[in-house]
Amino acid sequence: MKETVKVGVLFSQTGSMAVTETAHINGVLLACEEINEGGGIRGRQIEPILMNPEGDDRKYAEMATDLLVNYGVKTIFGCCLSTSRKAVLPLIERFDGVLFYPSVYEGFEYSPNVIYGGAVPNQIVPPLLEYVFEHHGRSISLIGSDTLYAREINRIVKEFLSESGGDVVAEVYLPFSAETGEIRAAIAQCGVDQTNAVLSTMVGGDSVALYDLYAESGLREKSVPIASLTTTETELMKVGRGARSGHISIASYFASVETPQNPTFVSAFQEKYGVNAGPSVYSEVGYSLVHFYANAARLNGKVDTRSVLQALSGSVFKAPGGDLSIDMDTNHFTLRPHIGLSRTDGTFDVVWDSPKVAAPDPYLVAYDRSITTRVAG
Amino acid sequence: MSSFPTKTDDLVRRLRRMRILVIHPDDEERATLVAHLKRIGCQVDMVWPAPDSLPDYADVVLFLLGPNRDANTVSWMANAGDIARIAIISFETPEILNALERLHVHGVLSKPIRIFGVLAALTTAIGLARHEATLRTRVRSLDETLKARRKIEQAVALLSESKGIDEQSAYKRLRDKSQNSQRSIGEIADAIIAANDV
Repeated sequence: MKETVKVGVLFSQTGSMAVTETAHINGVLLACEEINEGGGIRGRQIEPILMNPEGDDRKYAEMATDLLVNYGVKTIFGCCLSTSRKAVLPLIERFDGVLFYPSVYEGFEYSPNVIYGGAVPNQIVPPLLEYVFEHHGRSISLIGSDTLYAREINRIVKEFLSESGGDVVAEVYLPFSAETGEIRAAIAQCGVDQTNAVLSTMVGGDSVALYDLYAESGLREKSVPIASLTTTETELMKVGRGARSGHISIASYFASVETPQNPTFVSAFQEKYGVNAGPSVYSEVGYSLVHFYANAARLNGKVDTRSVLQALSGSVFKAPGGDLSIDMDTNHFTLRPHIGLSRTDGTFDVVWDSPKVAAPDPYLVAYDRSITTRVAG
Repeated sequence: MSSFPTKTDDLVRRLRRMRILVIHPDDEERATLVAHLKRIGCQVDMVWPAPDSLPDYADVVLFLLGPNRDANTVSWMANAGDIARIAIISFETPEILNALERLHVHGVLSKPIRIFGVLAALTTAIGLARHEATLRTRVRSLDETLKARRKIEQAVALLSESKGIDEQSAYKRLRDKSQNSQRSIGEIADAIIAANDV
């Protein structure tokens, strides 16, 4: 029996982010299983070492150190919130490992030791706003969990609105695990007569609570949608049935996208986790990153950091959502955004596919802030 | 309702318009630094050894300040004017610290250069250099005003007498005229005195 290849899996299974981070874990573990069934990495089985930092950034740092130093792990799949990634980043650099980060985030970061698998703002904010402008209007309310992500996304959105003749009706940030009353008050601030859409940057369980409480509001009565970059099938399934439909999400993957390789992935996922388990983009990116890593490691049979990073360069993986390729200048991915309209059964109807793939621009070097040029005003 | 960030306070976009000159030997560390500067969207030029004077286009200079005196010439500082200056250091010896103070830099990067911190050093240094330039301009105009004060007093007296207005209004006229004509208040005062002599 050959020695296994140990990889770290570092996501919170408890706390307010559990719903989302469990989706990441499910994708990662499914891919490990598939790789092992297919003979592993040149005959070596992948051994995922699962750690639960319980939503505490200090534990992310401690456990990352533990994985890298005591377990001899070179590669970690982990982190969802930016604060946890920032806690792990110096350690991954110091011990020269690789962190595969599977979540959508705010950009403005680069480390040679991190592979960023999620979408950055330039890939998803403009198309989402364009869709909202065209179908609902330009007066937007912003509700978010108080994260780096929410503030940065809203900064970009406000810039966009000011360049495109839109306006912000309300801008509210809520603490993690916000009280029902706080969320209701935030919704109430979004003026029923002024708001055309509510852009939510709420994450995890708080996102679920927002949709549930939104269902009782006047906005819901007037069919004003929530538009989100972070609400996927994973969160929607947790929302009460009557509150699910008619909202807009953008992501590089929905379970209902039509690619040749998606049905196989969906059925494998549902066989392992049950038919009500998604998958969502959180699982799909986690899953794809593990395959991406395994393909790179198979190239020369080496799993040390330098070999893996070199082998990643220029490789393309047929992910369930479409071809993934990595831009080695920034360590981010080129991907294809889709817009989904939520349904009562907790899935999304894909109402828009980007005609072209979106290259990552994590530092917003070259993006166009105004969409008046593209949407008739 | 909405409060938008004004265009002027978009730091990052301002950064993109900057031309950055890196004065550093051609090695792996410079390559890492330059790659990151380009990644964040800046325009970068490199030179080594240090030039005698800076090219006109440079807005920001990142320069190696090492213990080796010859390669380290900072004669380019003479015409560095309002340029943001960031020193790259590998030692914190008293000598280097003194040099930093003497050269009056706006920011410091320490070796080995880490990606994290470069962006903050740049924006801070640019902000400081701008602020300094504003202050310098202000000081220059105050200096001139101070020198011209006697003349201005004289002109105000002449004006208030000839127009039959109080001194405050007379001064305001001088100031408005200066602002509208892009000439210093001292020059306006000179003109009034000269006209009165005729």
